[in-house]
Amino acid sequence: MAIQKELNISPVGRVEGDLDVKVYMEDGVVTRAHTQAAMFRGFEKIMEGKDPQAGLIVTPRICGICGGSHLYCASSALDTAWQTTLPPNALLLRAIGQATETIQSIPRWFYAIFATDMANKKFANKPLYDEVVKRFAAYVGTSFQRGVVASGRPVEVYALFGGQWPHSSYMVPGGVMCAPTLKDITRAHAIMNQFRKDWLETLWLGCSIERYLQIKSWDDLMAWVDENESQRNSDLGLFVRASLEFGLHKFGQGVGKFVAYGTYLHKDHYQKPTVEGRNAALISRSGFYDGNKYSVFDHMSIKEHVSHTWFEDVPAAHPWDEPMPVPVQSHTLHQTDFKKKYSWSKAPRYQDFAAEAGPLARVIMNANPDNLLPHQVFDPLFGDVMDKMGPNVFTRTLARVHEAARLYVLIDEWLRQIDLNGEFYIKPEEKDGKGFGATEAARGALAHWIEIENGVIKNYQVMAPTTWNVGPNDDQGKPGPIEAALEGTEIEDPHDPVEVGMVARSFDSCLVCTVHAHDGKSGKELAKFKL
Amino acid sequence: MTAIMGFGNPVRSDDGVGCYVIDQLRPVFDGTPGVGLFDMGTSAFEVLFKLKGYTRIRIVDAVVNTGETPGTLYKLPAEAIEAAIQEDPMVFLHSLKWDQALSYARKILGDTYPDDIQVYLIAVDDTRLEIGLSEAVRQAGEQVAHVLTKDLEAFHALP
Repeated sequence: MAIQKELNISPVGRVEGDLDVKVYMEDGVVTRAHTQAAMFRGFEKIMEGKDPQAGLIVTPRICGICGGSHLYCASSALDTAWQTTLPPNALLLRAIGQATETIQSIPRWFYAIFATDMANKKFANKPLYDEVVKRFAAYVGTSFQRGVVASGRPVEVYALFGGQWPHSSYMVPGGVMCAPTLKDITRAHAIMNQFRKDWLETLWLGCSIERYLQIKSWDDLMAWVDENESQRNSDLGLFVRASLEFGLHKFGQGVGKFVAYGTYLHKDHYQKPTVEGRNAALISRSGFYDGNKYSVFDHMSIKEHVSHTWFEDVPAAHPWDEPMPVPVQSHTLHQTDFKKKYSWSKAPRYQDFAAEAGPLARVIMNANPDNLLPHQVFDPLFGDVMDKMGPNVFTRTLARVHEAARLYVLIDEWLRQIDLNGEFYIKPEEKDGKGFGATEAARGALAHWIEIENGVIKNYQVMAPTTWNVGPNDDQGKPGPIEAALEGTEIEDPHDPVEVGMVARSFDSCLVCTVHAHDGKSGKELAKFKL
Repeated sequence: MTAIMGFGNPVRSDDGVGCYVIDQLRPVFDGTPGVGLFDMGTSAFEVLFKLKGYTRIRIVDAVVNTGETPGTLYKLPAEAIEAAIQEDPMVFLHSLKWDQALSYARKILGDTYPDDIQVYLIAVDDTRLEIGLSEAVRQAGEQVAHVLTKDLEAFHALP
């Protein structure tokens, strides 16, 4: 076989899937919105009939961005099914893997996805616009480059322990497949320290992490912004000031209900992994918040609806009880009847409610004063932010970036707690049964459900945060979170509806998103753009 | 200093051939000073961070819709990559491809951007959700691993 030359071709784009967002606008307001996941994502089917540990290999390959989060879920699901024993070191190294993946995505998402929209000409008449363009414009912005480069550091720590990032399989039922040395721990500290010096404290906060973490309320945050020039002119300071000036707190509310599975199972509280014991072992808490009150998270309250999904109709069911879906005829966006089936995504519901997953859900759970355990994060800031501002594009984004300081502290603490002479893996006994593993991926609640029968996988279900957020209408015709967040959004220029893009981006769906904006009366497509 | 980067998704049948090539090279070259072997999977953006410190880059990937039979090999000259790079300012983490990541790396790395970049592409048409390569594509992967082995041996002393 000869090596052929001369091929003018662009590489394969390996997208995690396509999402079409169709909105109808009348008199400058979005009146209807539908989200259409345009690709069948049947990774679970690969695992049917395979070795129970297939999920450790297959699921980190589902996504080129959240591979570590899938691994966290896949190993946890097997831990509960096999009733493993986990050494504290294993829980620490899994938490470090999850946290480094999440913290890297904060600057990468903020600069490479979200903030570029703030440099849109729509805001050109605002006083802070020039400064925003100077720092956040795609590629050429002064902070864009530094932030994106800094984002490469934390996952170097993941790779130290996991071998590589993102598609590693170092977390296994019973522990982790690595045995770090003192040199690795020292190196990990050095890498994180560089991240702090290059970006987190210098460019992002303009103050020490300790100072930033003193913020407990919305007024504290406002006072922090104005405390000195360094904080005021930091990228976070600019983001807060520009968001309020540009009005990002005025649109993109969503369903107003939130779900978080929580993550970072504590080294001393989850050595005997069970589904029932999970909530109490979490460092970043789980829960459901309905806009007024909190309730304790129970994965059995989750059901998936398929009445608007291109699968044969079955009653809404919990992932353990769902049959493998049978696909039906799908349609192009143009031919789709949105009263019928219109997406490859299922519609997950918690106690029959659509719920938003993501960083905002997480920080809301961390503000819950009830049932708080000493090892759990308590951070009242977003309880207050929700009272004063509610959910919107600004608060959703603020929640994402707010996590950086705390994650840095946690990673530092966990690195110090590793006992180099301790165990990292305890070989489990394989058995049949059901398992549930969950985490918080950077973009929200992620869970795997497994059922093992006769030593092989009978059923495997993956529910991604994007499924919560981009899901279609449910059996009652109620919209999913992004659909709800778009409705009512005021559009300044129907031929460049940047507001629609900002709402969609604020949810950070793990699909490549194309927005189609139509005139509500004539149905004519006025704008189409990719996010 | 040579970095070999294999791209693709091993749970999408023949799409995973780039990762297969890396697996073939590991037993011989893991730990060789100056040689980096990277299973890049589907994380194109990471190219930006992996280039640093390397003067020679070898990229292995699958390619669809070539019109040729699966297993056909292509070796692209660096100029062809330059010509094909799309300047799209709307970066999206999930849709960025490695050629765009290279273009972005050139902007960031400036003078340290490696000028010796070669790309090996293997024609595939089966990207079903399944694990494992077809025989024709596996053989093509073996051949690329062989070519890269010679390439590495000519530049690096084995441990």
